[in-house]
Amino acid sequence: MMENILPFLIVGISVGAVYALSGVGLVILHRASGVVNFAYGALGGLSAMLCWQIIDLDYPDWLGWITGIAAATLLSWGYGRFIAPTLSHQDRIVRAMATLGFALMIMGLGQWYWGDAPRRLVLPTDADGIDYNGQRLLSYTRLLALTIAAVATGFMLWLLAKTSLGLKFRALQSNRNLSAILGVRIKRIDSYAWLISGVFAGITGLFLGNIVRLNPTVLTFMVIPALAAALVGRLTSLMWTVLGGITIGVIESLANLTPAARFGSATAFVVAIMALIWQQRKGITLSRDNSHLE
Amino acid sequence: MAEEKKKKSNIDIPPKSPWRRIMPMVIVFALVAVVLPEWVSHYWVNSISSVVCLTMTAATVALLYGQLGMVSLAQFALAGVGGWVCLRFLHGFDIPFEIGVLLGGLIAGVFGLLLGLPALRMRGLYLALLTLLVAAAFQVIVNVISFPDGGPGFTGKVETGARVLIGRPWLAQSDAAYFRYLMVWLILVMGFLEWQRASKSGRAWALIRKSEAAATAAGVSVVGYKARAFFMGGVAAGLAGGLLAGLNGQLEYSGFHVSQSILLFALVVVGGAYNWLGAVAAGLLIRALPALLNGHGVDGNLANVFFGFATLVSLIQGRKGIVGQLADFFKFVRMSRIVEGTIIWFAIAGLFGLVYMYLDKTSFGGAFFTALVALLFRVAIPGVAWLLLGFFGKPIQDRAEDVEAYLSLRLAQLMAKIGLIPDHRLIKRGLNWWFNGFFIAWVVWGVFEVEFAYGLALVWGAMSLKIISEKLLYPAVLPLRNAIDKKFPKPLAAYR
Repeated sequence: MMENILPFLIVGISVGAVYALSGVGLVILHRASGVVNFAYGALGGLSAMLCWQIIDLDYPDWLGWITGIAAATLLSWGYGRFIAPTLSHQDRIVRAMATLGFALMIMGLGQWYWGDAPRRLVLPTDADGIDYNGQRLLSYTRLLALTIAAVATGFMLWLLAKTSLGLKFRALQSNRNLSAILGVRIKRIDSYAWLISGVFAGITGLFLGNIVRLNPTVLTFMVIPALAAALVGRLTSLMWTVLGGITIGVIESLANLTPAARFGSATAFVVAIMALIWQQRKGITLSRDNSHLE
Repeated sequence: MAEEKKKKSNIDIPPKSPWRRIMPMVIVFALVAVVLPEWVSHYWVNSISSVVCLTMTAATVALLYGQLGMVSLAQFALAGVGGWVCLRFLHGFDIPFEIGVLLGGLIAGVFGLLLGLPALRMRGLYLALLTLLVAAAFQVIVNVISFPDGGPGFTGKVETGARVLIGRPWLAQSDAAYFRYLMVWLILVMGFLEWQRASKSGRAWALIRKSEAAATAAGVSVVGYKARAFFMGGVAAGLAGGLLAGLNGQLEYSGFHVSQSILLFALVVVGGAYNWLGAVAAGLLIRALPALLNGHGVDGNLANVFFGFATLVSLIQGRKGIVGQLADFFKFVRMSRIVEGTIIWFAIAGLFGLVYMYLDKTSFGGAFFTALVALLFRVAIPGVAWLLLGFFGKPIQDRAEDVEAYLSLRLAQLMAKIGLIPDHRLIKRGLNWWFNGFFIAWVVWGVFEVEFAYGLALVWGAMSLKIISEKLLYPAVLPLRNAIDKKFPKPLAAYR
């Protein structure tokens, strides 16, 4: 029994790590700027498609990765620096819906330029991996994703807790107006958050393009599992987000063993819906420390 | 002075009876239902029929967003539920089409209510996220079990053999008849929603939106009215789903992708959530723009880029959308100008209709409709361009204004120097005419297959004729205008 489950468990953890990584990027941004970025998946998709395009043109692989991540970072920063401030006086919901418009724009451009043709984003780490009982258990790509997720989350936890930038992020999360009075430069700190979130989006885009399917539309809507992971952490807690992402990955993978395998891809949504409803059980909309964002 | 101020603040007061608010909508829909199928080709009748269903769904999004400020991204999924139930019942039992549609609407309403239950506690963002997740889950479910097509069992899926289509109602077998049948449903459903908006529920919703605490203090049942909005939204969306199923006899899974729900919301924001025409604009855009682009050999996906841009602009610029801006504009026009304009517009459109029918280029209706749209766009496009320019910020808007003023001045001076009558509006008009002409001619070329040159001649002709007739008729019209002004001295909004 255990032998049957183990491979699925490990695959689940590695896919879950990618969800967790993308969830962390969303949470960082939400904590600092109060924006839920629906364009996150689209940015990742753009990163993956650009990377594929550059490798396809016979440039070295590393150039593709760097260009992809850089493009996602740049766009994310640009939105945060130039467009998000025009909406800062609006409701949280309006700010979130505006990123939906941004997502549609990026997705539309991607669909127009790359279309629906089947493609594959091959990473050099795909070729080899850890074997178990003569079967490939974990390719190095997935191992890499797992490592990056762990390292990045750890880094962000350190950044939030120990650095002055992290302190400013936490100040913004706690109360934006008071932070401004105390001399935190809101727009600049916001744009740093967008920048970091853009890096996360770029990296997860590459992994998702490798794991899921290399298609602008599909990758754009991978924001929903990422949101699901972030919602488990109430859009604020990094640790819970990671846990949520990995739980979703594991359940999704284990669902393949059950008769309901075909519904497996709904796991993320069901987990997040349940988490949302559980969090609302006492009628509190948000955790206390970001209630000002309402 | 004080009285004047008081009058000004009265301008936004809703009309006295709900019926007066619904009436224009019913009249327009009835006219469209009667006239449109005679004008457009077979292909476009079907397209516009699906626009009707989308409009009905968009109206539910607008109801929740406009009245309560709640974002539901799952309305299209609810339409899918309605469609699924309708198909299953029609395949399973020998019942009339209407009963199936109503059952679908009812069950979708129950699902909408279930969806709304968490909304009683959740607000804003969390509700939007929840509904997005529900829409995504629905997409997976419907992908796996897919829509019924005549087979046995719960899923009603045919394993082997041909798929069975459901029949249309006996009243509406042909495409044109089915379109009219849909319009009757649309009038009933949207009329009901508008009536609710304009009556007691609408006031309660507005109060809840303003402040739930205030609403509770005023004795409004917050839970009851929120639940009512979600139930009504669910029913209307479900009805739309059932009617959509009736259009082709079946439903495709690909039509209920979560992106559709998102697009629907985005376009309601673009069209305007506070006006029934906003829902119509959303339905038209979501369906017609990609089809139009594809028809011209341009990738329809580029429509998404425009939709995204327009959504951003609408959210940044203000939240009334395109239709809201237009409605605001008309609110402050005097009655006499509206009467005058309407008469001249219809006269010009009728003239062109006759001419083009005589030349055998289009039907009477086609040219009539195109000329009307051209005249409408002539008024609307500067405002929309202004709105889009605002995306780049107020400084850019101001800069553009300065540049335009400077160029106009120089041009007017130049015209005076070479002996022409100086006209400071030449640049604005020129740009407007240029864009309007090419855009509408391009659309007409795609939709009615009228040659581009004839389309261009039609648009430019209609606009020139409007200006010429204004100049020529001015002395004759003046007494009439004064007479109307004497009777209705205030702008339109004061008389609603």
